[in-house]
Amino acid sequence: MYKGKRLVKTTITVLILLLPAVILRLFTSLYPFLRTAYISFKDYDISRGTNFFNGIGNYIRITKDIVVVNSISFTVLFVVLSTIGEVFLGLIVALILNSRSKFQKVGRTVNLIPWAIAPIAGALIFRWLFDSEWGFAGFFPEFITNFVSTSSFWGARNAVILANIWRNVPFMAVIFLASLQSIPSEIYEAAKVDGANYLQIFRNITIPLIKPMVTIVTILYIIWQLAAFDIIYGMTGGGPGYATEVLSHKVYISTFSGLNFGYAAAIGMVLFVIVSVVGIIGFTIWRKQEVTL
Amino acid sequence: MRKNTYTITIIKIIIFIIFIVVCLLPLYWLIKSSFTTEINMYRSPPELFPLFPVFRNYIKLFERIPFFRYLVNSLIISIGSGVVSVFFGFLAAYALTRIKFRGSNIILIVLLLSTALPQILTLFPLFELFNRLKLVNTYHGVIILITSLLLPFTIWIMISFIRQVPYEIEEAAIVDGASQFTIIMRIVFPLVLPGIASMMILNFISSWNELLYPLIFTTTFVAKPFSVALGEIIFASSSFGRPWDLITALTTIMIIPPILLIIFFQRYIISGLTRGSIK
Repeated sequence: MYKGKRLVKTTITVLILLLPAVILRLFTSLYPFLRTAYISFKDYDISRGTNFFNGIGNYIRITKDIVVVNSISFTVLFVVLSTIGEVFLGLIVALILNSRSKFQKVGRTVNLIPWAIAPIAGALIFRWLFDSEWGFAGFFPEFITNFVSTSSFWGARNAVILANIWRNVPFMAVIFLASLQSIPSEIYEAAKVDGANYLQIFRNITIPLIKPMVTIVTILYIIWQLAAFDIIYGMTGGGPGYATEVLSHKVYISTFSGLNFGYAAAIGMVLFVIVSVVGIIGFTIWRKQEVTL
Repeated sequence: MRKNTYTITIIKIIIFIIFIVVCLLPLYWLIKSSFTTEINMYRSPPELFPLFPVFRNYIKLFERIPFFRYLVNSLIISIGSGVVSVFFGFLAAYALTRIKFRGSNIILIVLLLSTALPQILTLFPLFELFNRLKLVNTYHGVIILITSLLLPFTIWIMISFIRQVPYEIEEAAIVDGASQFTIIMRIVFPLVLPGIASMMILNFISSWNELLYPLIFTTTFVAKPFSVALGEIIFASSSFGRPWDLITALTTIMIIPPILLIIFFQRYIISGLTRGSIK
């Protein structure tokens, strides 16, 4: 491509432009990741004063630790239920905002508000809203408040999932809406001329055309939500008991309260493996879809 | 037929109202509570409207925590991260879009893949390192971390903005003898200003809302932003249990800037958010 002096000049330019971003990113992702992987094989515990190589000892301990095993299963449940709710409601909201009406502009602004406020703020708002004694729940009979309350096992689980859905639907809706609007109107007109009704158009035109976008956003959200932290930290702190403990929060507690760095790193690596497996499966599905289109 | 469309319109309006209520009710409840006296907060059933709205919770907030310090910290961290991430993101995006070199695709893919890495895995090693480098409890320490978090998405979006600039303009400048840096700063930069603005607003909001990095890397009031302060108050119990009067007041203040940005810059925000999804 480039030769001699030109090559040297181009190389220097590329380095100056790219290096700050690439070095900064690798220094805060690749380096700490490798270090965490290394620590996960050590018995490194400040409270007991240990720091030596321990093989897969931490990983064996994880399989026997009921709190970690439970937090793995709740992390998965949290992500699955949240994502189902988000994609479904995201599509509905996108359809609401797509129709041409006077309210549409107001609707788009309002839609963005749950996305724009801090996750920690959202978590606290819902903690207060669902407070079984003093919250908004006070207006409802007990069997409803028991369904979402931060003080019971399943109530707390439902509450964090609902709060998480509330926060994440807007972004999905914005992306789905953009995807809807990128469909050329001629296709719809042609279908109408052919006598298709609204449901047929939706099922045979809209859905197939937005499906790749929906798939990729769903995969990304599954990956990001596997590492969810703010909402649990703010809303329940993993409680009551260990009902809403998720892996990210468990790693945080084990590192900065438990000071058991080796064990915490091993739990973190479990989270990493889960994210990788889900990511690889997800992108395989997505690429197959691209090909068939 | 006419009756049918009438019913559909009614249903649409009802769904729209439900949508608005679901979006806004939690916020109403928050703001309402922040203007309620402490005694009226803890009663069942709660009041729907504050009959005697008071500012006492806010005044108490200014007395109890170093509020203005936290405000300044939040602003410095968010503006700093927003500007730095967009600046370096723009430069990197330019190199990846306009200069042909081997490996540019791989660099982009690695950058994007790095966003899948759970942030929690990076905390302890970075804390060890930052502690040694004396970067804990400093603005630049937190700004470095948040910037790196924002960079991949910023680069991804900036690439699509830069692609829209016709290459002929740059070619003409090369013929006129302009240097590479003149082209980037004098020609391309002004043409992608709307994209720069979108990303600055988006990254400001993300940094303002960021919790995990500041939570670990600011341990005193020196650099602590609102997000961390909020988490702190919730763990401090008062005689009434949790101090919800302070929490609701601080949460209300914290959500104001992002909401204002959305109301005034909705178009920029949406164009930034949807850029990556449209080829």
